[in-house]
Amino acid sequence: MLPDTIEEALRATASIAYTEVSNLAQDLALPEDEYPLAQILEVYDDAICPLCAWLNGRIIKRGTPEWDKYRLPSHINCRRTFAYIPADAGEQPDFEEPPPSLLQKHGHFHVDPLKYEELRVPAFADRRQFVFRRVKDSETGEWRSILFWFTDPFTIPGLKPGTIQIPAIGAGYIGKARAIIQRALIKPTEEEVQRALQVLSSPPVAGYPPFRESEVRAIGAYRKTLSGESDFAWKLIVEGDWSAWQIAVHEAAEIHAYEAVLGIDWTDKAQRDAVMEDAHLYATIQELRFLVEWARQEGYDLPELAIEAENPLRKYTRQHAEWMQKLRDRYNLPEPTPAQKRMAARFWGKIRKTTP
Amino acid sequence: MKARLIVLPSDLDYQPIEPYVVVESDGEHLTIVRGVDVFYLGEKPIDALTLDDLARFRVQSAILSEVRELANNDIFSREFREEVWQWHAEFLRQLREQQPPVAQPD
Repeated sequence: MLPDTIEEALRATASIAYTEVSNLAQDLALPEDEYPLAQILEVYDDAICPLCAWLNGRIIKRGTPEWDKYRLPSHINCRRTFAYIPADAGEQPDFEEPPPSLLQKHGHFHVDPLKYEELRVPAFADRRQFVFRRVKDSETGEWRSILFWFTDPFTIPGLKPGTIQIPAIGAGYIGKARAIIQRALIKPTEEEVQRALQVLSSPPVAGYPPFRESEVRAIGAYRKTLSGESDFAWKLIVEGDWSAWQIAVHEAAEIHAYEAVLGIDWTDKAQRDAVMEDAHLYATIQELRFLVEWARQEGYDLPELAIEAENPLRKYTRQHAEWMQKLRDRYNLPEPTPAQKRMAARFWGKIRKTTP
Repeated sequence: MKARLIVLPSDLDYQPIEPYVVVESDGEHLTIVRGVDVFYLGEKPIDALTLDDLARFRVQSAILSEVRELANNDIFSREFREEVWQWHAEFLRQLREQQPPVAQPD
């Protein structure tokens, strides 16, 4: 049965959206012009939730906002699949948005997509990859929900180390890169794109792929639209600063959060402001996972917060401790030891010297 | 918290959604804040900030506002962003009217 509340979801033994990978594979394999429609097929048994029961059998037109929304699972354990309908089948779309009450109660991935993004990872056929457990903190006595992985999340087939929370976008860092470029009010120059592409085509961390050209263009367009022609973050990437990859991974995750997960118009100041902190937290944890892997490959076994504590871009701000607390709370991150912080400072010193 | 706006020439044509502001934290640490992103600049009094301090970002031309004591100290808060946004909009308006409140440094 489905959890009714977020807290129940966290307490429940969670499995994962095992249909997602096959859905995405089919989505990519069947051309949209030849198969313009898809029918929602749910597993209609005793465990089906009212939302999926409502959606079952409806026909959606691919490439529409509702397709983007419902082609992915709606909740933990969602078993949604699709039957793709050829253009000459004579079928018509009959999709309607479900009642808000159903979405609120059962559509956790729609209601709070960033919170649940972690759970949208593909399953192995024979077992779950993680469960949530409630554990009592030995020092504070506080009960917390902890994610336990049965497999090393960095070894999940088809996913890249450090990007395990962005499974829906296939092989890249940014879903909907072209949509971002289209939405942007300012585009990067061709020279900037080529220089940035050169920087971002050489990953400093094994297992992380080079950025695609469309993703580089999307980052440039996103940054310039937000901060104008002289955006600093974009400049650091174009110039190949030591922080270029760190910034690119962060910006890519942030763009992905706005466009592909939250589905907001990030050029609208009010819409952006309402979810800015969530998107930034999401981007920061992606950035930190990238840095954790980088540190590991450099011989430093460091937790996320040790790296963040010594992050030279952020550590001297007055609210850095507060920001670290937000990260700690959102992602249940362990508190680093003084020795780990010292090691993190050495890691930062090393990458600042050795990267372009 | 003391702060100064950084206005780039292109801002006059396109008002950025997230303007740049430099804030002085404890111990005269200077940090650029833009939205919720931060970039550490270095340690010096904010009154002494010059374009040279922005060299890492390849800034060749910019206008720095006067130093202002901001009412909101939480750089991650909406209130802070709104205060900076309003200040930046007003500063741009003044610049467009060619009545800059302070001279360009250096």
